[in-house]
Amino acid sequence: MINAQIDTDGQGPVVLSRDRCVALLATVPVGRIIYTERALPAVQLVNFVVAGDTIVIRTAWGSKLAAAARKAIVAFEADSYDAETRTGWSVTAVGHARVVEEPDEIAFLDTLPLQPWAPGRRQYYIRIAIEMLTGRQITSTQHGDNGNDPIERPQ
Amino acid sequence: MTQSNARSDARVDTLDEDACRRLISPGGIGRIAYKGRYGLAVIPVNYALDGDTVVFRTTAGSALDEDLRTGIADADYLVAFEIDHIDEARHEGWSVLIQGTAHHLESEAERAAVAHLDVRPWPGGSKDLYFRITPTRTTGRVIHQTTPAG
Repeated sequence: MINAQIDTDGQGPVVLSRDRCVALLATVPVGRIIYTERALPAVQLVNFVVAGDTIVIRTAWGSKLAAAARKAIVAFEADSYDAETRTGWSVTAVGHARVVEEPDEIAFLDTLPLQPWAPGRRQYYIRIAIEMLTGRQITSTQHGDNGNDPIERPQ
Repeated sequence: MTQSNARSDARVDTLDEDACRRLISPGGIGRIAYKGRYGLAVIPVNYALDGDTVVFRTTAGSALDEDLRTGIADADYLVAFEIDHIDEARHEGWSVLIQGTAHHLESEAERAAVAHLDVRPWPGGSKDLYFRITPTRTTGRVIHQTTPAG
């Protein structure tokens, strides 16, 4: 049983640099979309890629995620935790989501290495603008400090 | 890289509540999602299952702690709690989503009730706060590849 603790300093989230966050996102194939469904938070696991300042996902026509993502603000989270070294990270992006409808844009997105593990028919792309990006280092330490990874205060 | 036909044999199945509970019972890392001061927030936390409820802890004074303590007696926060397991090599995985209310365990009795769970506070560390999520809805999905990925 791992005993990880997410450390914050009580001042607010401890922020990793934007470049580091983007680099970390590139290392995992799935993340989670957090959206609101009838005023309740909901979470769905998705395959994704980062393209420019957006996160690109695919979803099935008519899915709850599709409905929620039409011009709504969603959050996207990805993380990785190593039980042996007891370290890991979590990155969260928040921003407006939109369904991609332009054929040229779809053609471009088709070239990206986004391969849903469960593809289906009638899928379309959703792009989430990265308007806020925060990252946390996860360590399990006795004294609650965050180890020696570069940490920047929010600007 | 084009999508191979083999991958289109993936299946997504829903999991019933019992299957969900079995999958999440070992505990570990889950993610709490809620609408906080800055909008939607999602934070990985260490959790344990206590019967049908999920117990996790936060550091006192953290943003998560302040967001989840509504300050209204008996008013609990609506949250989602997500746990998943992914096999990157096989392109398979499962995900369980709990939607429910998060209650701050304030009294000594409430804290004593979770002492046996493996969500221990740090020895000599800052005061930790415990929350219990009571599910109102539990759903899950599993992705199988019926032919090998790659």
